Amino acid sequence: MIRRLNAADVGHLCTGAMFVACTIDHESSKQYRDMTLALIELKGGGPVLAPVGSLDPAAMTTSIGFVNQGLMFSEMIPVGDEFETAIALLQERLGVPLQGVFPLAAASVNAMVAVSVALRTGLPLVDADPMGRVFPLVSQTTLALAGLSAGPIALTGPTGETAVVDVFAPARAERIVRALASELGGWAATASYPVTAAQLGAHGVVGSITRLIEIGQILDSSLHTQQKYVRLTSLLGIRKVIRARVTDVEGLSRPSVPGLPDRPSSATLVDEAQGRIVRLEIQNEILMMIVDGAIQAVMPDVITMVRPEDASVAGLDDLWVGNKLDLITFPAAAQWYTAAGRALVEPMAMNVVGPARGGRAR
Amino acid sequence: MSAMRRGVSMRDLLVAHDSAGLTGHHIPSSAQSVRDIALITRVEQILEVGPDSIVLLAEELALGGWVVSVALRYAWERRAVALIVSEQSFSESVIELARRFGVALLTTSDGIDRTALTLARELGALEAGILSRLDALHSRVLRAASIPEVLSEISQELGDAVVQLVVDGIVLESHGTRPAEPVVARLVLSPRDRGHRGQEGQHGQHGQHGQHGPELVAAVAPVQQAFADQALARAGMTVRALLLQQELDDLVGAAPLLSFAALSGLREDGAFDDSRSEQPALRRLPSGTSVAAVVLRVADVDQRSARIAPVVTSRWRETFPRVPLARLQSGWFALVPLAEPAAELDDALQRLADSGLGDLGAAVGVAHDPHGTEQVTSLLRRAGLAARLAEPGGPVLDFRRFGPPLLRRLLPAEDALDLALTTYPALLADPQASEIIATVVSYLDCAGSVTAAAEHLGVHRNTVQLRLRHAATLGVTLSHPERLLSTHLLLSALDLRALPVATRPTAEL
Repeated sequence: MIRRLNAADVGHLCTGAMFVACTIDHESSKQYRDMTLALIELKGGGPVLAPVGSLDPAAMTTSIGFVNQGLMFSEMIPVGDEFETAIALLQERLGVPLQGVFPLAAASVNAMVAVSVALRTGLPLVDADPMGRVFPLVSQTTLALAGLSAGPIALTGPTGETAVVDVFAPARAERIVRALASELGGWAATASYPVTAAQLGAHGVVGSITRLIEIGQILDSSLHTQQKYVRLTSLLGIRKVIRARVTDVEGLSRPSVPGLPDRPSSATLVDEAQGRIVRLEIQNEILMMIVDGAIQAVMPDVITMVRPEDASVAGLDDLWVGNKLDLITFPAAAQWYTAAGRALVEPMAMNVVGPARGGRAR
Repeated sequence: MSAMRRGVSMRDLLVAHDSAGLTGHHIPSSAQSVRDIALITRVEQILEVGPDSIVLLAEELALGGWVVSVALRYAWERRAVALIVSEQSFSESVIELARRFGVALLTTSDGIDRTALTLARELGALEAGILSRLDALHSRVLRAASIPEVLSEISQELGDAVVQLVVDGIVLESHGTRPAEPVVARLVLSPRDRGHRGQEGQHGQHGQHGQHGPELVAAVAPVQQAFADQALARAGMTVRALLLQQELDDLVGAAPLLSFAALSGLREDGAFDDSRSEQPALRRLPSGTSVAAVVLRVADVDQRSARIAPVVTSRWRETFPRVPLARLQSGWFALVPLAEPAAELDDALQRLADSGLGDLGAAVGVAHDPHGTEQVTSLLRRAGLAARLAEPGGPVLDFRRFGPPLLRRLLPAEDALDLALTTYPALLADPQASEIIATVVSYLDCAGSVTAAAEHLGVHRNTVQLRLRHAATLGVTLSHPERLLSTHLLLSALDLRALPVATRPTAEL
């Protein structure tokens, strides 16, 4: 059902977007939330949220998202029209008008950017995305899994420089866009994966914006923490909640695997209830959770953290020694658990996910 | 990947290795043996390593603590004993994980490949040393002439640890001293259940191992367990051969006695066959020699012979070193010359009975011939009868000390009632059966005197006569002398209070 998002929806969407992507920087999400709320107030209404099925199947849509390399965009703040420029360039290259935008990842700041862009351009925000969570690479999308092209891709840098890249293979697009982002000034506002509504409906993660809003509604409610977990379990299929205290953080202690953005680090926590040793492997986000040496969750599983006292969303900067956190894992979109999906998103974890996930050999 | 190796101690291996390059971050205090060295280039290869392996992670693998954590977990799952990675610093949580899993965690500054090669070389050298010790022990054991000598050799090789030959929980031979907090290495010498070993305290000596035949048991320090297993295995065949040789010697020594058993009817089905004629020619001891016949009777000995025989013959040899012991169908027997006072023989026999034979169900009976005038076959039958009446684990029963209470055991009241119901059904069905039986028994007790029986019963003699006539009508015939003894024995054995209710008297005659 097509509906117009209000201020409360945007707030919940932001909470949900931060929850499913435990990154080091939630400030950017909040910044875009506040910008969007101010714009809603100015315009007297929010953006239109359109289910995929409500669009003409042949209607062309595009994903919206930041791609950064090295410099966080909070350190070189966008002027505001970067995405409008990129969308205009993409329409020009495609030769057809775009009739909807969707986030490159329905998580973190890119989920909020899409809302803001929809509001600014007046295009509908399509209730879908190609990740269902956030992955670090532009090529790690369900649309790429389906063999669809990532290009052409239009980019706008922080200084207003633009580029349009005619590229087909998503893996190649990732390398080129990442290199361009570096050259453009540390980040680029991109419009990529131009697909029809029919293609997005068939191969995207459908309903992901609505799900983020529902997560936010639960987390922002006045329910007790445990009641929130019960609701989230019902909504997301949460597999595990471990309350643990941080005992050690190792940062940048090893080289990154080639081709991945660099921020490798580890955090060690001790389970409050049973004394189990929990280890989080972090590379921009939490890649893997190991409990007493056994892998409990690994990409594409979503691993995130909340604060035990009120189930508010925590970030990687909450991983300071002595802090107590609730670690939560739940499955990602079903497409990621196919063999092709795992191969695309498990590059570093593949070597360690063996058949033995616990239980001593006899 | 891992062939069966001799137990090389992990500590020995790490000490033998030029340890300048190895740093131990956690070494478990418990003793662990090493069978294999595994160099892993992909973490999932740990899933293929065998137990008791030392796992080395290739340099490119151990990029972070998480790989080490996962490798420790996999090592624990595969029962590997140690994980070695290239030199790096660990957080306390990784070391704690190694501690929890009981897996040694070490780093090397020599390079993983070089360390793997060095450890493999040292493991081979240590195994060769152990093999050499085992071969030398095997040679010494083969030269041993008795089981105590074999146990002594094994014990010395194990640092004077206690080594025992155990049968059904009974220690036949023992050598050495028990170390503090030992573990048990065990070798079953019978064909089944061979080579089982257990942790001290987990299995009682009289537990499931009591069902085994002879076994060699060594209580050793934990670090020696693997070596002790190997040592026992090397000595097992020799001990078994010595046991069989003893058995053969016993048979040869007892051969002259075997005809006694055959001819005296000392078998399950003929122990009291009085119809056999005496055989004076069987006496092998000079006439006039004081002698005692001893019978060790064991229930269902034929089914348990393999487990019980070594204990019985060993205990007998300890008590009477020069007296042969012969097998019969229901046990063993021997003829012991009475060179010593009879009381000393009784004491020796009681010590024998108390040395664990009772637990095996053995009962001991003895019959003395102090003047050397009795026929041996008679003497053996008496001893056999005494053994039948003796209780397993109870006192040795001397035929001379038989009394009426013991005789009652020959025909218990329950059996007597069954027999009487068959032999005298009319009598048992009679309402006055109790009075009639009491009268008949009293009459026979009084050697057929009606007057004496009446006086004993406190009734008129006419009453006695009336009851005796009534008894005759019920099938109790007292006019055939040859039947009087068996009738007397049978009716005496009846418990009159336990007769069927319907037969209780309803009126005085």
